[in-house]
Amino acid sequence: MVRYFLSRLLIAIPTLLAVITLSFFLVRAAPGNPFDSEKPLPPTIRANLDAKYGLDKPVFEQFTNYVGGLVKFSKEEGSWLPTVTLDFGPSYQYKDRTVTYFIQAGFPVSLKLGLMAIAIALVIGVGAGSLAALRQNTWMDYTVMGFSMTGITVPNFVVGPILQLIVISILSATAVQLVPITGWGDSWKQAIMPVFVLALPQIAYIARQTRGSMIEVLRSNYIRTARAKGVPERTMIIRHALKAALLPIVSYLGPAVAAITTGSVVVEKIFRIPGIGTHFVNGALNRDYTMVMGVVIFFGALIIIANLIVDVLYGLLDPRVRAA
Amino acid sequence: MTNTNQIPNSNIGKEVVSPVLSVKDLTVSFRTNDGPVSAVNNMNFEIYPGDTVGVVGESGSGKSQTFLAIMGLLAQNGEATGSAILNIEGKDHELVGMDLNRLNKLRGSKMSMIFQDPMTSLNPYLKISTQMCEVLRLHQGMGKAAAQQKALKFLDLVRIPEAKARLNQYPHELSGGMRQRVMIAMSLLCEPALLIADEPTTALDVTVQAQVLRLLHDLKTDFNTAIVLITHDLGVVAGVCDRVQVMYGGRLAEIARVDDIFYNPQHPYTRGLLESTPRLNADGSSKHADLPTIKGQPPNLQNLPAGCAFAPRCDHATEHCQKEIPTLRYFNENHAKACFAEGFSQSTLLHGAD
Repeated sequence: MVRYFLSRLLIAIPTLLAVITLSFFLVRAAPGNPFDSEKPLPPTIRANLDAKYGLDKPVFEQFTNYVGGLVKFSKEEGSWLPTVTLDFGPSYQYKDRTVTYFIQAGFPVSLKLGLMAIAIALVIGVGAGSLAALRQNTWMDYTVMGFSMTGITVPNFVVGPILQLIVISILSATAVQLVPITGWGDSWKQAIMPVFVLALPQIAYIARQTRGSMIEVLRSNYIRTARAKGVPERTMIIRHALKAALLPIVSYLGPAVAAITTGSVVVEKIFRIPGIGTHFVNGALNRDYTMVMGVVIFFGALIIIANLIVDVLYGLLDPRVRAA
Repeated sequence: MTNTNQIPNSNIGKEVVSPVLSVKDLTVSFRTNDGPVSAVNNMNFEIYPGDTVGVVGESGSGKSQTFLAIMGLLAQNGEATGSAILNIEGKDHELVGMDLNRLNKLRGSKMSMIFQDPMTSLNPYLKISTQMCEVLRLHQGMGKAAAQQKALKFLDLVRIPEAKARLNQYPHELSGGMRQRVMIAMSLLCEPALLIADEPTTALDVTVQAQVLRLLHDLKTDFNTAIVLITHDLGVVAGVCDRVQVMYGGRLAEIARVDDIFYNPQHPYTRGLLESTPRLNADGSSKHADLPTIKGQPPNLQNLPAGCAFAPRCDHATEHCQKEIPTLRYFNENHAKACFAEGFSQSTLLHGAD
């Protein structure tokens, strides 16, 4: 297991390198420049800026400089191992702040939002999906499947503004106080809307997945064996069916983390939440190269780690994988 | 547990052995998109304590569905009507239409079932001990330690080597034959009055088949459990069964003692089955002639003929057979057939069973 874990960590390095390379050149391929503004800068100032940030050098040299500067090893007196620091460089837009500063400030907010969304997606999704499977082809099944189809097809940048609109225009001003439509951190109520919008497609997907796998498991031979043993229905579902039915959900958690992270970029912007996503969108709009790169690398690493955790979790849950 | 379905004057007397299972007019039908399909029609039979009854027939003859219905394990679109009475210590339990809570008290304790495919019949996510102890804790209210002890005893009984270590293993760590032994041990934990084995050896290789069959045979004498052995393998029937029920097209074709089935079969279908059994000559070579087969196809259950289901394939069919369904009649105490034809003499069979 330890060996497997370490080899997976090693494989993560080339993956991250590919992510860095791709996003580096893609960002630079986009038209525009970090220092473009409505009023063009005088050429000398512009040349000075480019020289300061190394933008006057050929793109490939910029790339090697960037990658070279990412990881810094420093060795302190008396310590065995060198300390590793990640340096995403300065933000081109906020000249006195580093990208690391923004990630450090935004990540706790984004993490809280994402974790709440995943937790809610799991609870509601698994619950609704199991219910649909156990009451297959009844109105309950059709309702759950209908809602989840909507949840999957309607994107969050539509759901978010529509919900905001409903709260403001159709409901009264008190509704806005009960369910605030923007902001973060002043009251827990501010989390209701963004968490819901972020979780909605995940709820929908997890519900469909749970229903499908639950139906399959309930038809399996070992469930028939459990019935033949006289195991009561409820025990049968909890002890014999649920674990097998949830395994596909566990393996979906990796992609779910990715979906939630990318979803949060939009949702944070819609609900004015000071997370990483907001900085990422602003960075992209302003061609803030280092900001975009920093967030992409950070998210990439996050998703790789999430998938790794999921694989380990899967191994712990399925005895057949554990042995292999 | 009180039983409202108890039949008055049921023979509890010691001189008359009452059947452990009496099935009357059992019919199983499935709702499908193409209309109802009747898999089992008007089954009538009895199974006595300690008996081993072989149920033979080709795929789709309804042999499995009959007993799945008795266990209450039909697929969701299946429905059973008629009556199947399980007699436990003089008390009758009507199984057809029994409410699930009461049925769960009988399943696994008074009657149990093992299945064709041991590779998928055990829960892959639970240890053997969990799956076995579950039965004991459920039906006998045993504590964990006592249940473990008894599970270990039964694993020894079905001759599983290193039984103690096996308890802590998962099903995938066991071979197919070993898993079927675990299934057998698990089904016997509560010493049921009736054990239904649905093709227990079909998925196993031949040497293991023999071991499992011998095991079932030995266990029968230990527990006085009535065993129903569903199979399409006549060799298995000859080896372990006392009585045989031959099924065709969802009905019983013939019921007889095992010797009569092989040496004095009375239903044309049974005769056809026996004639199409491959066998070796004394010198080990197979006969040169082609293996005889029963001509035609098994009946379409959705569209059964008006008369005898076997009539279209039967050499002895008359006009009468096409019009009326023959009922199962006993022509002596132990031998019944559902056929209008006169009795066959033993010599008319191509070759007797070896």
